[in-house]
Amino acid sequence: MEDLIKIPILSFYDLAGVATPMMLGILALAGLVLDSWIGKKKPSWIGGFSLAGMILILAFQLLLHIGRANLSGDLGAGFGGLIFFDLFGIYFNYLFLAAAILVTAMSISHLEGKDYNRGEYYLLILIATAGMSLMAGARDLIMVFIGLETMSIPIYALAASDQSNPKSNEAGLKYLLLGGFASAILLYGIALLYGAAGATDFLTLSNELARLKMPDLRFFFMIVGIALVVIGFGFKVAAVPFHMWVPDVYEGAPTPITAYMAAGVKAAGFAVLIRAFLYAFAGEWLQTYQIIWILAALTMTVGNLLALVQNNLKRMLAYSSIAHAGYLLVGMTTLVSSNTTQEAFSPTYAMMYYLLVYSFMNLGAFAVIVVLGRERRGGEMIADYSDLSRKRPFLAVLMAVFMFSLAGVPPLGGFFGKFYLFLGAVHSRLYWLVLIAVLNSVIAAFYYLRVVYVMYMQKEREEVIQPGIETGVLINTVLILSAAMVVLLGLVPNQFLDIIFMTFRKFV
Amino acid sequence: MQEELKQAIAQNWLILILVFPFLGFLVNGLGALFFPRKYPRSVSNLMACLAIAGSFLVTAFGLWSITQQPAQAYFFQKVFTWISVGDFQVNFGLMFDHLSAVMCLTVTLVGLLIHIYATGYMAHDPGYARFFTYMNLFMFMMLTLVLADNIVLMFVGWEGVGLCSYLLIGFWYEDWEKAKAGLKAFVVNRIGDLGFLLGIFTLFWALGTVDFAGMRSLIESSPFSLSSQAILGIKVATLAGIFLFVGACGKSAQLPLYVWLPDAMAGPTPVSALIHAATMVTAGVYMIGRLSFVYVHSQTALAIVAIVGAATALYAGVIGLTQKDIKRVLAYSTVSQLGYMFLAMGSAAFAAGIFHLFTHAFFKALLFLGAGSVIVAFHHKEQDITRMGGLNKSLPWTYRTVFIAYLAIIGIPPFAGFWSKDEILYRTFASSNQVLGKYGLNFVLWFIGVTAALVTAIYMTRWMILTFWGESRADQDAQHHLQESPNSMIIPLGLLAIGSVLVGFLGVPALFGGYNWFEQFLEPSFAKALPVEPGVSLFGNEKLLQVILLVMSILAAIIGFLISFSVYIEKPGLAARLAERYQALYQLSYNKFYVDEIYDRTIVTPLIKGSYYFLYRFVDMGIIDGLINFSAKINQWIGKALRRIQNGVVQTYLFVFALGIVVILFYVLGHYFNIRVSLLR
Repeated sequence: MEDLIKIPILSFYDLAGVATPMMLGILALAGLVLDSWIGKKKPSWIGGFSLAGMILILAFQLLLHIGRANLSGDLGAGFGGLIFFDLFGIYFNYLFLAAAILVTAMSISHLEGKDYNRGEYYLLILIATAGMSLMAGARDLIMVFIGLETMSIPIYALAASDQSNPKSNEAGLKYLLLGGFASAILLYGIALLYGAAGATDFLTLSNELARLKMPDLRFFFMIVGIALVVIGFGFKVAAVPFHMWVPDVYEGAPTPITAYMAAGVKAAGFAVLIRAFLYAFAGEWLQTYQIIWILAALTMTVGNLLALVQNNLKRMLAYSSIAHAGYLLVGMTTLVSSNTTQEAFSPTYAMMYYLLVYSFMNLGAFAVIVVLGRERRGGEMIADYSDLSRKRPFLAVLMAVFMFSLAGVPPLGGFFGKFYLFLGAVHSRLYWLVLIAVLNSVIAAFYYLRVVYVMYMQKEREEVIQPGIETGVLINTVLILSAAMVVLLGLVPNQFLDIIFMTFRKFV
Repeated sequence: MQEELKQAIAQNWLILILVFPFLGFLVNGLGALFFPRKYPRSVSNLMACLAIAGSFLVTAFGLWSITQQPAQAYFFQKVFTWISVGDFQVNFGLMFDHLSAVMCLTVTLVGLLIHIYATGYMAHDPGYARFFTYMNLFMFMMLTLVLADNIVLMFVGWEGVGLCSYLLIGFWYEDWEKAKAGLKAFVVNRIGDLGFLLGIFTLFWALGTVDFAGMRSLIESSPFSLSSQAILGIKVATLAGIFLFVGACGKSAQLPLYVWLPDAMAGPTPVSALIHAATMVTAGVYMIGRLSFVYVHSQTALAIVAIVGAATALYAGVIGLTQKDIKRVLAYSTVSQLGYMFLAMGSAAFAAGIFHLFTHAFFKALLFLGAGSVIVAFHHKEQDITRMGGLNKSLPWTYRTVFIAYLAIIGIPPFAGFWSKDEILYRTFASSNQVLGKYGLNFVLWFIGVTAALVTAIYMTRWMILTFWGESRADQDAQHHLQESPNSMIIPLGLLAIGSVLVGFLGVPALFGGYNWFEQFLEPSFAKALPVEPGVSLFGNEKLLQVILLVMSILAAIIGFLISFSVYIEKPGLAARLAERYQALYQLSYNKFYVDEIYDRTIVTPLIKGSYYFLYRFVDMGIIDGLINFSAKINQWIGKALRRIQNGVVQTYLFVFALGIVVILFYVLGHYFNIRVSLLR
């Protein structure tokens, strides 16, 4: 009751914490009104509207960022402890918004002339982004869950949005069924934690974890609860063995949505995992928590080995996204095995950086698929790329940049991201895990280079260029922006790292 | 042990060495990208050659200025801070000391000559601008590798040259075989890169810094930082040395990772000369020289380097005996000569190794370019030396220059290869490595080295005889069209020939009244090998020993020549009869000891097949199929609309999901009860 008296009305910080998801929600509602008006005739305008709106919100993040950076210390949490207003959340908002903007731009190009080009498609992206933003800011497991569902349900619908394509329907339904199962597991974990600790907010959870001792049954419930939460998010970030849905869903969903799943959903899942392990599940008992070690090793290896034999580029990228989840789990393992909060920041930064690079290189690669799809060249099969260097030299160069970056070739962003992650693991003496990770990145080179090799070195048997739609300005912008980011993140990583380092400055 | 302090002198012109090739890359690259058909050849010619000439001039200036400084001085330039995270800092920084000066000079001088040659060689190729774009990019990456002042930036160059090599091997990508060779090169190199990366991690873990100057001063001020720490029970210096050497094996084509280099000969000949003979493949040797201060702390790592080097030198030479492709023989010869360089590095004779690298760049580039000239004369239609012969008449200048390179490689004094090879063999014999010395292995390695020299003389003489001497075995039509190459190709050949004669004199040992200027010059760049005085002498007389060893290596060359001469000239049918009689041995050598096939069967195929059949077919699909049958009954009462989706696949996915949950929960449970039990005790 006292809490209620202390915070009688919504304070400024409450609002600041939820400003981004709120604005996205309002934008979506406005878009809905607009949709009923012009949506039937000009669905792409809705896309343009949401694109413009999101760019404004992205600019607004800058204000929030400057405002937050100038406030010193921990501001506490808004809404009675439900949500953080901190730089970590703002960083991920940047990431989600940038991804959503690129995906929307890509979608406008992708949907042109398709029968599922409808206004609500773009609005669902907005709502999903709002959900991600809530997840990254959540300070309470209930809030995490609300954010997760706000994100997931629109994504299920989006995955199935290409109604005339049975694969897309299949993707949506599979994702829904399995996602529902994962949500149930997660909720069960949250319930166990609540039962043991009496609350679901991160602070209470970490206090209880520190207080309870080993033989106590409540402690046991908490550990089981944490394991179930990890499993629930393991599903979202596509960790083995909760990865089975990934290839089907990635292949079936419309390409921009696949890109969004790879960039946005994964980042949101890791944002929650990082936050949870930094704040709520921290403690000495974690050092023996080897589940994540095993998950990391399994995820990398299975993802990479299966990617080797794919002939469909979207499926290959799906398995590659599993493998990358594995590399990120190496970061999680490092985080979990660190002794102090200070020590845990280093892998946190590495993961934040990696997620940024990973988003851009994936968005770029999927944008190339979209371009080829528009031009009726297929684009989903690796064989469609044969001789691309001659037919579309510039596109081939960009695709090569994305593939090399995914393979971790210096000086592109993907290299430094991986290097930073593995370096942290070496510091934490996870030698075997690093060895497995480096071996995996050697294997990974095979299948990424196969694409480059097909583009540059395989001659097409016959020329079959059917007249398609000319490459649009929007999709070209997406391609160039992603490539520029991938190169810049590799060449001048410090400009980005400085932003990342600020996120937890108050602790240092 | 403490050396006098290094003098670091900041300079701002070092970056120019990199800027020129990069500009060339940009101009030609953009030209090729945006005007694929209209971009004029003369422009791309001029840009590419000027770019390298610019680098060469700056390097020459640098070399001159560094001789004006005290011996311990070196130049550096910090261009910008690349990465800075916590205690991990990496600069984009350049370092121009005596070692990188020599290496830069080799790269830019030989590179320039090869670029000029390429303007003639590639004159009729449609992908002209693209070719020079990749070549300039390669030069940029190679020079980055050489000039890097830290090991991470070196790795950037290291990967970059690999990438360019991959692009240039597959340059004529109409041809499936060539494209495959390019892929093979990259994949094998990735295995090497794995070692390199692990080496970086190890060094950073042990020393906390990645820049060479910092590492070196740290090690020299506290030598125990390397020898007292261990990872998984292995001394850090040994572990790092071995990891890095794995990287070197990939890049410099040593056993067992040499397989990509002979296949890389599919690329255009100037590429073979520049990348696969003179520069990139020597990067591994350079890297060991750069990190000599790490290697001297591990006798084991050095011994491994020496053993692998010697083994490769002989092994590749034996394969070279029976190859028929004009470039393939040279490729195996390169692998073999690289083996000599590693033998020197492993014997802690770093300067001798770099000296051989330097001389080898000249004569091997010359041999390759000569082979290219022959290939051009045959209009790219013939590369089989058993169907050549008698070319000394139709290609007189090519023949004269190649003959000089031939004398250099088999080690006839006073040509370049003699001085450097002899120095290596002497240093191996006199090596004071304790690990080698314990089993008298240094004598064995020396013997292998001399045998390899004998083999070198045999296969190179065979190569000369079959290509240039005797009667022509080419068909009439080809003979008719034979003509000497244009001046743009012959002039570089001539200049390289002059180099092949002269550069050896830079390192004439004191025994011949020489001054061994080369080694004196390089000395400040290397760590002191632990005891410097020679471990052995004959009758207490070091000079006598040196003379005897020298005579033996000259003898090896002469005997090799005589064997080849008698087999191929005196008794022309003998070679065929020998091959007939020792069929098995011949096949073994001709088929390169079947190593490619072995790798294919033991590594590549199982990996792909295993992944496909076990993981993909069996786990991902097979179990699913099984469960489809199993759940056929369930399917019947599921609505038609959902049939496609619920055909069992989702159940399987859920099954695996649930299995994962059960395993994890069991783990947690077990963990909990274990602790509980231990607490109860």
